[in-house]
Amino acid sequence: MNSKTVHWIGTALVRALVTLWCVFPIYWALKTSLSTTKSANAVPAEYVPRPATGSAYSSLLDSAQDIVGATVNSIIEAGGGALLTCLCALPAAYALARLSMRLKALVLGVALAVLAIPTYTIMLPVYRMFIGLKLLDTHLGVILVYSSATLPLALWILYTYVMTIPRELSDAAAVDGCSDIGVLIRIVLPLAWPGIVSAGLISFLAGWSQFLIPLLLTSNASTAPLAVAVAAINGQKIVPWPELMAAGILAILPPVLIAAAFQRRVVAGLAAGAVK
Amino acid sequence: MSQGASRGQAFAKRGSVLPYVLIAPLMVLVVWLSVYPAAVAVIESLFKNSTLDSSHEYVGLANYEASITGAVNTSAVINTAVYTLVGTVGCTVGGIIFALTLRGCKRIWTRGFLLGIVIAPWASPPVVSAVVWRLIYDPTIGVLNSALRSLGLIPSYNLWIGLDWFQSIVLIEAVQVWQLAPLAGLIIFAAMQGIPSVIYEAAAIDGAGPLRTLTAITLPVLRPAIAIATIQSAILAMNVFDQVYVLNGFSAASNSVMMNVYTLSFTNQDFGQGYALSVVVMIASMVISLILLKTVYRRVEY
Repeated sequence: MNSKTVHWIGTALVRALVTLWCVFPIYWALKTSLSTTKSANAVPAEYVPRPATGSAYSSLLDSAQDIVGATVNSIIEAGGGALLTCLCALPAAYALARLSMRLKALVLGVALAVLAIPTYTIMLPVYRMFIGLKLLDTHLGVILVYSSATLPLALWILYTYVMTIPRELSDAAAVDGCSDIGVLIRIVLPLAWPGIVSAGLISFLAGWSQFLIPLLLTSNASTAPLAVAVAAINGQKIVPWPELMAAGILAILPPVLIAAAFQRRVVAGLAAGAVK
Repeated sequence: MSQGASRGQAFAKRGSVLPYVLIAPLMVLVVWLSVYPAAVAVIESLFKNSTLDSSHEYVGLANYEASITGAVNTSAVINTAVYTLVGTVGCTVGGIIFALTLRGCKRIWTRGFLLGIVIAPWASPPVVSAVVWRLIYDPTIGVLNSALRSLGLIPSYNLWIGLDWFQSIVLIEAVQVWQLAPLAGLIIFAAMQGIPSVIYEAAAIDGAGPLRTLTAITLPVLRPAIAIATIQSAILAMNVFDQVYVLNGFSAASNSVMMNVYTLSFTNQDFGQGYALSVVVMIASMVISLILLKTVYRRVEY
């Protein structure tokens, strides 16, 4: 074997191991969700479902756990959080990057310092504040907390993005009589689209992943998201593995597919956020 | 129009309220739900604050003392130190391996495919992937036992979590590393794409082999990105909750500090101690960030 062959085999081996490590747990969840209870509990383990069946999914739908409602809650809360984040972060990023104002450094400094505060530190005061404000067990309460948590990163992503838009474009628009708001809506909004997608996606994925925040803020099924529902099934005395994994797949596949489909925007957002 | 304003700001009138209106929604949310609660946590940690005891007297640092002394609390601090160490090393090494593997893909579609795969663990909700790993680690029907047994690597099925303290901690943290190493990998990979290829061409002309190129060029140039990936991993590992909660419940043997914050506040209803402990974690996060920033981070100029 010459060194080229050795190199080729080495590379292929590393790639195979990386793939196996990353994908195996997700495959295992999918496989278990398509198995009968007998096959899922088989010793030694069966590596493919025999027979493959969708029965776990249908019994999950019939179970006491309102899985459809939990999915809808996840979409409303993660989606609402991402939307609110973008709506607040884009105008702020535009103002900081392009308009003259005092306290610019202070605002950016606060936004960065907030990144260092662990989410759990603020959860106790927020929880007690929300009792008084009647925001517990509401979608709005969860959306507000998700949004405040992702805003600093989104601001940073959009700030660096707006900075890359050539000034000549907004200057030209201003010469043509466009107001500052007009420049934001007609020039910055369309050109910053990739940055908005990055910030929105990362906020959505962050919201979809949350567990402790909704566990504290939502005590009933009408507002609890998928992550909380999955943990509830996991907490049962006798764990129904195929049903639990079916619920798990509902929680895992949407964000995984979205991240894979928009991988360039996700990586660009993470890279911009990491340069802090 | 202001005299001497920098280019592009010429059209923003000095004293205009518009910029402040545009940043207002963001500032309101961040101050209301991040800055203010953090300040409340710091202040309230100095007071007696328990639903079992209605007095709200100033107690100085007593909550801090109580929250980190006592057998259960001390073991949580030690556990968390091990989680943080294992998680930081695991994520940094794993992240570098992922980034190098991604960089090694010359074809666009191979790289895109592999990127989609590496991103998957990071995109999965941590609590849900922890449940999947609970099935993998299961002592009777788990595939880890089954696979190792059929490969002849273990004589009999093991109880992976709950028996041996160190093994439990490492295996629980492995689940968090599975989740977070891709994030470190993506941060480092993104920085790699900014390295000018001229450097590598020069190294090749000078006769540097792959290993020498890695240690003399790639890793030193990537130091800032690696530092940031390491800091992120350290902070997230220090705040570990979901994986411990799912894989071993509130068992004292693997309890993390964040789980203690939860029990102190919501089970014991002693908010003062909960605040104090969460402030300790916040300060520890900042100190570790600063230490790593000073030691690992170096500005690189080409």
